[in-house]
Amino acid sequence: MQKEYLGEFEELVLTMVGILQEDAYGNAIVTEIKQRIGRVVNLSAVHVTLYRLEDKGLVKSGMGGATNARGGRRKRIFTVTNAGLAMLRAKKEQQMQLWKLVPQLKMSIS
Amino acid sequence: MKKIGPPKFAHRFLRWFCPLDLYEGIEGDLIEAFNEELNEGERKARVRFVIRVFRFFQPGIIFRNKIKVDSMNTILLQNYFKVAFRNLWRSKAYSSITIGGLAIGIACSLVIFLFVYGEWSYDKGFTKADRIYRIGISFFNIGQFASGPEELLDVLPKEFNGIETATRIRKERDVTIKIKDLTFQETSAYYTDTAYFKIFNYTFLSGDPKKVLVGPNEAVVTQKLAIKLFDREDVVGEVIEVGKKAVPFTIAGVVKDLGFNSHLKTELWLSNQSLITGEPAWSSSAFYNYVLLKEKNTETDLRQALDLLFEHHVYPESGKPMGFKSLEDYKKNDMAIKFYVHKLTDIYLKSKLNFEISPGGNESNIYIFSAVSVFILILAAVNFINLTTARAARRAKEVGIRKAMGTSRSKLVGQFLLESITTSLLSMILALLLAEIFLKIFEVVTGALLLDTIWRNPYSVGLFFSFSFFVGILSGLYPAFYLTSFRPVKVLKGIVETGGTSFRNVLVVFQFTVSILLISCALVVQNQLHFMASKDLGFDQKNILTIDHINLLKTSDEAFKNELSNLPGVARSSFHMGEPGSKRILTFRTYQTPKMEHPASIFTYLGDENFLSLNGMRLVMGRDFNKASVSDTASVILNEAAVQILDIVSEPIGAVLDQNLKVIGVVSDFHWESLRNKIAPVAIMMTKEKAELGFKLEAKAIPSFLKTAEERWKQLIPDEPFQYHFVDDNFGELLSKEKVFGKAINFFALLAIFISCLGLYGLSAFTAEQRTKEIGIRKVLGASTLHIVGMLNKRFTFLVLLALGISVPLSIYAIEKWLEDFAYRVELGAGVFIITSLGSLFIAWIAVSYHSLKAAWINPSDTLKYE
Repeated sequence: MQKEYLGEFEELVLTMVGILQEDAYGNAIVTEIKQRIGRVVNLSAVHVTLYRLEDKGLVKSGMGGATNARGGRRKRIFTVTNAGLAMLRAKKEQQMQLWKLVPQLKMSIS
Repeated sequence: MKKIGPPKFAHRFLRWFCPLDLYEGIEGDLIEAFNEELNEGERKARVRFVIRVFRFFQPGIIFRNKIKVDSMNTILLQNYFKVAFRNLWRSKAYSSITIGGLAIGIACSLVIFLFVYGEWSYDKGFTKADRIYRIGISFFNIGQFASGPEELLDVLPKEFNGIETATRIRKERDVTIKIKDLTFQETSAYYTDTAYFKIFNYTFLSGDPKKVLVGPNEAVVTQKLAIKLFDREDVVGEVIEVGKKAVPFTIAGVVKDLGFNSHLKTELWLSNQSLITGEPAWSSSAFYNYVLLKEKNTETDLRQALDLLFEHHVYPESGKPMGFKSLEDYKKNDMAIKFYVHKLTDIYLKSKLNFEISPGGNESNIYIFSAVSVFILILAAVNFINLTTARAARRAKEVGIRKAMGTSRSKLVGQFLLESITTSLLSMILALLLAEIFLKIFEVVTGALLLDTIWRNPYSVGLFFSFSFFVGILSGLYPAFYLTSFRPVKVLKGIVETGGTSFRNVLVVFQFTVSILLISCALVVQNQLHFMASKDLGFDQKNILTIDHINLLKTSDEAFKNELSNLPGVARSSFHMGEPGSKRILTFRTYQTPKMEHPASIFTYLGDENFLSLNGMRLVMGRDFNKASVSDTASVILNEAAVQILDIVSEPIGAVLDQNLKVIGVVSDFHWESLRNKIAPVAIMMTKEKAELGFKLEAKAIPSFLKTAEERWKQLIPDEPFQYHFVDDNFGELLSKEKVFGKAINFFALLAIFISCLGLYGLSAFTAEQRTKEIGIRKVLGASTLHIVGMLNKRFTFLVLLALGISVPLSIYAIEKWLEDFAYRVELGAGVFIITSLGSLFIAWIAVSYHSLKAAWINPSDTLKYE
């Protein structure tokens, strides 16, 4: 279906999964987003987005280790798939191309 | 240390809604977040935990599990559809038989559904329908009338407090409406009062429903009529002139057209004040009386009230003056007044009184048609079942492989059900198109206009699609379970027992039983119709032309008659009032012999000395009227039935009745009503009154006669229309309803046999195909074509014969039931069944033989070389 389409929040979460590598699970992503760009996001929203990304085949998941802080529950660790990586790269390129088209003059004035 | 944890209920809630495979990951994250927040305060953390849990309560999480399963299934579903369509495509002949047959069946039942629903829905749209009753009357034994006396509604509300309101309606046919120079023609108008609109809830577009028709000379019109008359809707205050006398009525209200069927078919209501006479007469039927009961009162209350009213008013005011000694004596007599109560919603289908305000429907036809449509639908479904199971072998390998690959039986059943639903939905689409065509045919054949087309009502389209869904499941159920019962190991080894033959045989027998039943019924119906149309009516009804309203000619009537009588081709002519088969003029008189306790009311024709000869009625005793004899104005001629009733069989001629009436002649019984009824007593009296003028003509003289007659009429009274009819048309009209029924039954019988043969055709094709090798070997060994065809046809012949055996007693029962209603009817002979048997056998043989012959003619080397 809409393979090419990736929402803003989806892109953010996908990027975070890429950044966190082996430690990408729901709560960690919430904390990471808060630390890196100061945005407070809902845990549930992140989860839903992660599952959607999984449906789209951009990430895959597996159960990771348990910690005491989680009351003995295992983490669901997400990893970016090749398709996800390709998608991120394509997005970046798209944005760069578009950015180049913005007149740079304004920069010099300000 | 007290163990601090998140609230238990939140956990439980999460476990309840969260899909199992997500649960651990989510709960872990939640607990982690909770623990991180603990240092900000336990309370706060707990509250936040709960909030977070609730945030997870969203579709993306809750339905994830299910949607995931579904999304896996879509791939399989796609495969199922693909396989279904491939199968349909691969065997186009079978597919078209199943789809086509089912489509015909569904279309047929759709049309009947529309018809039945339309008939059933009459008057159900009025909100107070369950409290509205109409009170009809009978008196002097001259018939039961839908209308009743004016006085009833004056007295009843005083005697019975259960009546909320009541209204009288006087119906006027063929009303002319004049607006300035324009003249319009309406089929009917109701003279009524304001209570009408309290009982029947019409939607008023303008005007006050509480005030309309309160004053004299007020009118209410429907939106449709307003547009017809004035080309706009806001016509309140306009004046219309109604009837010959051009009485002005001011329009006081405009109502919306009823959105449903109603037996009250009029577009125009007028104040009835001028028609209310205030005369206390019980034996009258001037008005249709409708009452609205209070909510707490029932029909029983109304009937009781009418009984009381009968005792307190009718008997003293009407019975006693007639010479009845006691209430019981009066009550028992046929001549007494009786009331007939009908619930509003029963009037259209169940009330069969004389002079209904509009012609009613036929309840038994509705039942017959519904039953027939169900049968036809079953026939079509049976085709489907038969062909699917018969060809099971073709699907056996697929089933085997699917099973070996680990598909569960339930999923296979699902697959086959899906296939049958696909097929039935395809037939549904075809059926909707067919139904449109059937509707047109039905309208042409029966003359009954069937409400809207199917498409106009999206609700019914939806209904029909769910209906076809249902048919799909029903007819797919048996094949699905049968097909999925194969054992994969056997099937894949190539051993397929096609089994189920006996079940298929039962179905074929069922199909033919129904078809043969319908065919024999249709044949008998045709016979009866033919019998009625050609039966000797006891008089000569052919080529008698009657000119109506001859009284309009006033004094020039004799001259008119004499002039026309001299035209070529005119055999006889007679002035009269009333004629056989017609209900335009009804005259009843009471007659009494000294022997009789109470007078008998007998239908009476008034005619001159030529009346008997005009109609070719046969005198069996006595003499005809004689113009010269003065005493003949006090004479009467009776038919044989009347002689019986008056109890003068031993010496009819010269018998003296009350008022010094002398019987001078007896005519043999002749039919003057529908052949459904036994010949009733009739009397004929001399008349000076001239209402109609009848001519007995030669057939070829009719056109020229009509032309001259009309010219003369126009010369004499140019303002009045020249109206005429033929006596044999009277009987044609009486027959027309029966004819419609006959045509409909014919149609269904054809349809049934067609569907059955379609199924048989398919089955025979399959059998022939299955036995190609056997046939090949037989041919090699020297079997003749005839032998092979006979062999293949034997089985089907046997089945059809069996069906014949079952259906004959059934049809005899059904036919007898139908013929019961006819006083004069055909006798059931063996002929009908012989024709039906030979016919259905012949048709079945044709259906089967195509494939049998094909199989028999095939070159054995073609079928055997691959072995």
